[in-house]
Amino acid sequence: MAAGDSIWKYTAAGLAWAVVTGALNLLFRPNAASAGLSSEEFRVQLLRRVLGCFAPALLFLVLLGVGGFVSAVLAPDLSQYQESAIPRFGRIFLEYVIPYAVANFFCVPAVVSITTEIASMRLSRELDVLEVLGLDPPEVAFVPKAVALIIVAPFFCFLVFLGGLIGVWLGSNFLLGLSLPDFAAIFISDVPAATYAKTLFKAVVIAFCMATVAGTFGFWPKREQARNLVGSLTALALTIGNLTVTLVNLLLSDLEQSF
Amino acid sequence: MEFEGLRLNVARSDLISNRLDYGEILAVVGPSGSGKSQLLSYLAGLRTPVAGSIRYYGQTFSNSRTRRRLVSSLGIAFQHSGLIHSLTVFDNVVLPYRCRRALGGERLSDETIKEQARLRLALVGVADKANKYPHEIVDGERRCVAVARALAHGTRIVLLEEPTLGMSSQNRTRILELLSAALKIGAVDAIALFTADAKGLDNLPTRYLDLSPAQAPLSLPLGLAREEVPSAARGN
Repeated sequence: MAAGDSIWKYTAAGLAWAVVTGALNLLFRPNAASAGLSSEEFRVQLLRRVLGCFAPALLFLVLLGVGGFVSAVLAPDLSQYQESAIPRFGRIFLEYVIPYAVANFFCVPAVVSITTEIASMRLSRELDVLEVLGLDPPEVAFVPKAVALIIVAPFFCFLVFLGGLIGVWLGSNFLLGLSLPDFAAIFISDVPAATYAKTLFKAVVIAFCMATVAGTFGFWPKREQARNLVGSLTALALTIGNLTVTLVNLLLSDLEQSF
Repeated sequence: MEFEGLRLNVARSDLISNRLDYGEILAVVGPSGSGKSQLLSYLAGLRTPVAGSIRYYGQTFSNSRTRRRLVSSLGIAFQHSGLIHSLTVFDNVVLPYRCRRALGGERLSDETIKEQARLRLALVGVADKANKYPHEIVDGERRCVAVARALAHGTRIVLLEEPTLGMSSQNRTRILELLSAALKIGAVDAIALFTADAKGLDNLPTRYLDLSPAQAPLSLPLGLAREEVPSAARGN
């Protein structure tokens, strides 16, 4: 393990705190302590995460298109399907499917990428070089990735929601014959306004937890350890990340019911 | 630089003490697993030794701020080069300049920094690889780049782990001559080499610290003649 004060900063709590302070540095003093490396990495990560949103959105468009088509064909009563099933479908989609998509289609690839990259940097002594140069390895190698993930998570929700909405509309439109704005109004009619905020909040919390777990396992290996450790650490990060998301979801749902 | 009573976590109980004076090269030699990398980690402030102390210009790593300040003037190249994979070769060499500027060091202009980086890449013979990424060049070239980065302006003490491993004899000679020249002109204060192969160091102002398990005492006295180093460690 690294010297003195470094022990704290490589723990999950230290990394979680680094995300908070590092995000402020990125926003207000991008060149202050990291010689601009953090902000450069942040831009790269931001672009990578944004681009990573489109494939899942497209997937949900297709999946829900097929789902919408099949359910419309099978619907015994078309007016009931339009008035009851479609709005309920919107609420379920927003409350359950999108957080699932955030965890599995958005955060999981990021966890793999973050853990692998940081662990590789650790084993190839890149993080040691950063430390000798006076930089803070978590601030340069971890914080930009984590902040990009957290910031893009709400955008991912929006795109997947849009993809799902258009998919169901396309799939069921030949029977319902509604325009997209009218269909959207029905689709979201059963969704309380607070649900949007709740979904976005959940997405941010999930992204934060997954990023922290990924960083913790990324910084886990010691310098002397073999490179083949990266694979097993990534697998472990995914397992613990998924477990964390389940617990966080339960906790948030429980809190929601309490208040 | 001076270190005293350091204990390495290898299978021996002796403590290591030595010093590196201005204009000197200290070659820490020994086979794989003898503790060279560990000693390097201690000297670079990456690990806290179980016992003993390290002093740079009379100052110890008393707290994290002092440690950060002291080690930021070190130039370091690890066996695996430690080049930042997301930066080009040129940006890797520029990195110490950016860091030292951000940490309040000498404020060189961007143009001067670029000139200096280009010069160093030319000196180690990889000027034509400046725009490539570390994974696009071979291992020997990566080491050359790491040496170029370690010799950035503002570096006072250079720590190099296996700096010439896997290099052609031409590149090896070039690097050793460059290190010698850097010392002569005062570009750096001193150099510590951590290597299993001390071949080619005979012509340099080198002192040796032998970490071979068979050697006793482990900590060799100052001014040790290179003839006293085991022939295996000198590559003969």
